[in-house]
Amino acid sequence: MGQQNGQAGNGQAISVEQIRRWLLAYAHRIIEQEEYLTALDADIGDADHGTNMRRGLEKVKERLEDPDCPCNSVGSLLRSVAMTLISAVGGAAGPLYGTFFLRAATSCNNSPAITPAQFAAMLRQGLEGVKQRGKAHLDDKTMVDSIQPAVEALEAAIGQHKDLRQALHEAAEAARRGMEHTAEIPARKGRASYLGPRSIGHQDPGATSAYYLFETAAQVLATPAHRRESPSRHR
Amino acid sequence: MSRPRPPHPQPGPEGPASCSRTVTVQEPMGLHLRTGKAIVQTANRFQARIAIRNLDQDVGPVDAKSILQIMQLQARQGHRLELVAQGPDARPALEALAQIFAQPGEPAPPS
Amino acid sequence: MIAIVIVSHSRCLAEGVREVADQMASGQVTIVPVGGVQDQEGTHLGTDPMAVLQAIQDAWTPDGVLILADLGSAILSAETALEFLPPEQRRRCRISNAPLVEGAIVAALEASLGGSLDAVNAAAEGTGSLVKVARPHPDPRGSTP
Ligand SMILES: Nc1ncnc2c1ncn2[C@@H]1O[C@H](COP(=O)(O)OP(=O)(O)OP(=O)(O)O)[C@@H](O)[C@H]1O
Ligand SMILES: [Mg+2]
Repeated sequence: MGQQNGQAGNGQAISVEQIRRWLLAYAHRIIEQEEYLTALDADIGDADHGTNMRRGLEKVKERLEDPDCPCNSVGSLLRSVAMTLISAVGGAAGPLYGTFFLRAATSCNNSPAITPAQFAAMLRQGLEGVKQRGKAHLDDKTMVDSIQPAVEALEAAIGQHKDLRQALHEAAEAARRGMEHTAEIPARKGRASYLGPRSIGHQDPGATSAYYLFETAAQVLATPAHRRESPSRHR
Repeated sequence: MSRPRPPHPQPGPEGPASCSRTVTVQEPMGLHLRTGKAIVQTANRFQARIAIRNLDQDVGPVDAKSILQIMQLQARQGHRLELVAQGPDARPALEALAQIFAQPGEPAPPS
Repeated sequence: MIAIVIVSHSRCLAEGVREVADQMASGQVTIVPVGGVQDQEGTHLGTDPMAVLQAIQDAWTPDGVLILADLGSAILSAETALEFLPPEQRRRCRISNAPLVEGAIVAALEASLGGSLDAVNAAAEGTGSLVKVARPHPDPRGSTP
């Protein structure tokens, strides 16, 4: 592939630098929400989702801020994030988010920038990876419940030639609704499933951390990045 | 590499190579895992098919060469276990297994 | 002879399971425990797929590696670890559905007797239906325990 031009009328390519900023913003958001995520997990799990995610995302942040971070292609950047999460998170979220980014990475080759359609395809691969790894479906009260509606909304908006800002906004809204919906259903996967119907009324921690992925994407990716501010990042 | 798991020999009049013997579990805590291990290791040294039945719980017959099946015997102190072996070395096999059930220092009970 | 990897959220638990399993195998079977995650603050409960991968490689034998795990992320981590193995090695690994402690004890003994990967796994998984506490059993002979 390697072509950088946008397609489908939205004309905006997403550069590897933007992806880097998005994931950095995500890391900040998770670190800042550690206590909230842990509190959600205390209700229906083992009170460690915030700790786990913070531990993983701190390592990701270090990696993304490192001048040696592989920033020449979206694929290598995502792969590096995946490997960091896989070994640093420690809970179920580690292999799940790790698989998400690993599958996303394999879908985008060595491109230094991707089109919005490629971005959506990449997230679709990530979603399929999570579902395969966790054997979870929609409405099992997991992170799938925010990722899947978001990916579907993104695909639909891009298919309708909406601009990237709008598409990302719709994806984030879909993720938020999916996340909120997890409070209405019983858990069927993961630790919370041991509670069965008693898990109703509590929002899923993993669906919440996954919502931030789309929330920060809408905030960061819709605005084109100015050039890399740090020349040392040039490789 | 998988060890063959023949059907359990049934007690009763079989070929000349079939013999049986009843032993009693002496251990206060019932058939201990270590004893189970000894049974399985001993049984596996012989060609004979060896089955064990817990006469007091009516469990079995189970394969003496499988630790999982021995654990299913629910053998407690005082339970009588019937060992049935079939094959060319059935007799020495039962001899060796009976040794395990003999109290330490005591000779194996006679068949 | 196959090897065994014990995956637990707790390193101590994994080592303890190895200890009891070792006794059954009389030290003849390679049993590698793995568990916990590390950061600057120390070791925490959890599982690290890369550490599991390392444990599989440490235990490696062409006869195969049986992986016994506790729950949740231990399974996900083991599955993730397998993805990083070359396919010909991955084919000789099994993640067992067995209860951790009973499964490890049975697997260790069966492995020491030369059981194949699938036979040992089947025996280990069989412990899932084991009766541990005998329920009162109507005894026609009226013998008392
Ligand atoms: N099988 C699964 N498929 C998809 N998502 C899952 C699955 N199991 C758990 N999750 C997600 O992971 C979140 C919990 O992540 P966390 O980091 O707290 O792991 P954990 O459940 O504590 O792991 P562990 O199994 O080590 O206890 C859940 O809120 C849910 O969204
Ligand atoms: Mg948790």
